[in-house]
Amino acid sequence: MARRKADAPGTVHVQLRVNGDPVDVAFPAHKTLLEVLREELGLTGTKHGCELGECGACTVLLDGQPVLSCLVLARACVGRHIETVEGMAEGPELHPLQEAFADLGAAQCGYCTPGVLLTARALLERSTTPSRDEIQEALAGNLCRCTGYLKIYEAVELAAARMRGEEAEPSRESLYGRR
Amino acid sequence: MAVDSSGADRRIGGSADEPTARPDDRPSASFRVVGHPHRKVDAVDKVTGRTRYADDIVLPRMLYAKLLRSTVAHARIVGVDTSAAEALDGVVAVLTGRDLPIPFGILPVSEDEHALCPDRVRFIGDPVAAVAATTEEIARQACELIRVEYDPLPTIATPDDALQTAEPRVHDYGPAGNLHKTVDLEFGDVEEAIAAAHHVREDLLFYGGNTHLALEQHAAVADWSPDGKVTLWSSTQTPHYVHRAVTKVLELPPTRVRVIACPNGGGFGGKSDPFGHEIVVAKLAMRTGRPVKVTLTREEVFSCHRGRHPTLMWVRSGVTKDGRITGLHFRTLLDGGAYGSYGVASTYYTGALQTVTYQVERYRFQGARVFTNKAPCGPKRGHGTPQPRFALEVHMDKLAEDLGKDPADLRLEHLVPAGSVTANYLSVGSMGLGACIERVVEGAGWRQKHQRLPHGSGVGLACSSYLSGAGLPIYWNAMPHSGVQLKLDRGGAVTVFWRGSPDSWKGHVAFWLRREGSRIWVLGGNQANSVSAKPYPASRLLATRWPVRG
Repeated sequence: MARRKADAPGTVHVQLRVNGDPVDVAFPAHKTLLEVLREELGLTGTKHGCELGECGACTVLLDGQPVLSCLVLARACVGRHIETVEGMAEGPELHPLQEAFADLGAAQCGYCTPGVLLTARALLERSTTPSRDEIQEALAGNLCRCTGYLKIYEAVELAAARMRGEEAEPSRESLYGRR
Repeated sequence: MAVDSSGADRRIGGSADEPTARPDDRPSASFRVVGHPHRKVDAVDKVTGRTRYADDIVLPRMLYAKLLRSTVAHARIVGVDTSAAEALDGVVAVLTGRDLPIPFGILPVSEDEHALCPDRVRFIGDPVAAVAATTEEIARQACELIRVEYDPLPTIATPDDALQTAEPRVHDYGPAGNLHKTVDLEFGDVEEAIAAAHHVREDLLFYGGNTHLALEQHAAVADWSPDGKVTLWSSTQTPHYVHRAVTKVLELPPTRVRVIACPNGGGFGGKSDPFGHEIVVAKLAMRTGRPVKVTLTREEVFSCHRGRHPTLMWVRSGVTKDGRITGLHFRTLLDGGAYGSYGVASTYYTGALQTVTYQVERYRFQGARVFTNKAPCGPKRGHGTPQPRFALEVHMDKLAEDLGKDPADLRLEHLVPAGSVTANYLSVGSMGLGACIERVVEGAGWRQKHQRLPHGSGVGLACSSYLSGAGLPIYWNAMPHSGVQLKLDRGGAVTVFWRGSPDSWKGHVAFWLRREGSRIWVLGGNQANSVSAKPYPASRLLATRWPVRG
C-alpha cells in the first residue's frame, strides 16, 4: 500500500556557536532552540517544563542574556553566542554558582537548576553585589517547585561573595536550619 | 514555658521525650558524617546538567509515541478507525484499547483503569489510542488522523451530581450509584459527649483541590530485547508498583520486566500511580522490537493529575468550658474524579489524623468518595490530610473565639500528651508540638500582634501533623518493605581483633574504616543482627588483611 507522506517542513542547515564551539547542524525549520539543543546536539542539560514560556526551565544565555529556548527558533540564533549549563564549568572546575548550589543543597530535584544557574550567571555578570531583592527580581521567571527559593537565593549570594574574593562560608542557618 | 502549670495529665515541656532547652547546634565531635554539612551525592550532576531524567534518554532506532486522548467527558466508544494513521509514512505501530484489555490500578481494590480505554471514556484526557512513529511530529499527525466515534453519556461534573445520579454509574463497583467508597468509624459515643458538652460548634468547609505541577513532565522509555525482556525507564516515584502493573497488563513474568525509576524532576505524589503511557510504550516496544519514548505535554500532565482531592468537610465538636474536645464528629466528601487511584486510602486519610495534635476524647469519622467525570485525584503531599487539617484548624480558631480564648493557648492547653494513645488508637510517642507553638508565638510576636493589628492585617496560627516512614506494602507480603545492600570495594581491609585475651579463640572480624589515635574504627555486623561502625583499641588488633592491589 502506498503510504501517505507526513507534512514535513523544510530543513535548514546552519552553523551555531554553542558554549564557544562552532557546530554544524541540520534541523526542520520550525524547531525551537530547546529542541535543537536537546534532540540534535544531545545537550539535555537544558530542560523543558512547559514549552509555553511559563516556567523558565529551558533558560539559556543568548549573547549573555537569559532567554527561554522554548520560545526561540533555532534558525534565529545563527551568528549568536549560545551558552547552556554544560558550558558553565570553567575547564575542569565548577563555576562558583555551581559550587554554591551544590554546597547549599540549592539543587533539589535539579530540574529547574540549569535555568536558574544561567539566569543567575547573567545577573552576576552585570552586578557583583546584587541585593536579595535584585536576585529575586532576576529569578522571578524561573519556577522551582521544591526549594521554596530560599536556598537558591542564599546560594547566589554565597557565589557572589566568593566571586568578589571574600572568604564566604554558608550561614549556619542555611546549613542547619537554625541560627 | 509556663503553659503546663495546671494540667496534671499533661506533660508539655516536661517529658523525657521532649528537649527542654534548645538542641545543641554544635556538630558532634564523635561523628565524622552526622552533624557536618555534606553535598548531596548527586549535587554535582544536578548543577552540571548531567542528571539523566527519563526524557533525556535516547536509544538507537528509538520511536516516539503519542497518545490520542478523549475530547469528551463521558461516552461509550462506538468505534476507533486507525486506518489513516496506519497509512501515514513513518508510523510504525498503532494501538487501541483492544490491544491492552487487562485493567490495572495502584490499589488492589480499585483496578479500574485501562492503558487505553477499550469501550468507555470517563474524562477529557482519558487515553484512547497510541501511535509509535519515527518522529514525535509524525506521531502527533497520525493521532489527528484517528477517528473515534463516541456515544455521549451524561456528565457527572460534581459530587452533588454524583450523589444524585444513580445511573449512569462512572464505574460498576462501589457501594451504590457513583459512590466509590464509604467509611464510618466511631470511637466512643460521640453523640452522648456532644449532648453533655459545655459548648457545641458546627462548621462546614470546602477545600477546592490542587495539582502537583512538578516541573518535569512525565516521560517513559521502553526497550524490548529479543530474549523476551522489556526495560522501562520512567519518571515514576513507585517503580515496584509500575512493575506490577506492566507485568499484569502485558502478561509477562515479573523476571522479564525491569522498571528503572529515573531521577524525578519533582513528583510530590503525582508520579506515584502506574500510568497508561508507561504500559503503552512497553507494549509498543514489544510490538515493534524498537525502543519507544513518550513525553507528555504539560496539558497531558494535567490529565494524569492524581492531585489533592477537592473535599467538602463538616465538623461538629463538643467542648468543656476550657475548650477540651470531649466529642468530635467529622465528615468528608471527596471528589475523586474518574478513577480509583489511591482514593480508598485518601478517604481514610481524611479522617485519620484529627486526633493526634489536640486531645479528642471520643471521635467519629464518616467519609465518602465519589466518582465524577474529571481527571482522577490521588495522593499529594500529606495525602488526604491537609484538607481536614485546614478544616480542623479553622474550627479550633472559631472555638477559641466562642470561648473567648487565645487560639494559641487553646491549642497549647489541650495537646495530646507524649506516650499516649488517641481515641482512634494511634500511638503518639514524643510530642514536640508545644515547644514548637511556643517558639512560633515568641518568634512571630503573637502576643503583641494577635487581634491588635490595624483593620485588614492579621496573624494566624495553625498546626499540622503527619505520619511518615515506610508503612505497609500495598500488596500484602511478608518481605521487608525496604532494604540496604552494602558493598565494599578493594580500598578496605579486613581486621581481626582478639576478645577476652590475646590467645582466646574468641575474636571480632570487621572491615577497616580508619585509625583515630589508639583506636581503630571498623564496620562490623552481627551485634543484634545489625551493622554498625565502632572503635576498638588498636592494642587488640591481631591482623589486617589488605586487598591485593594492581
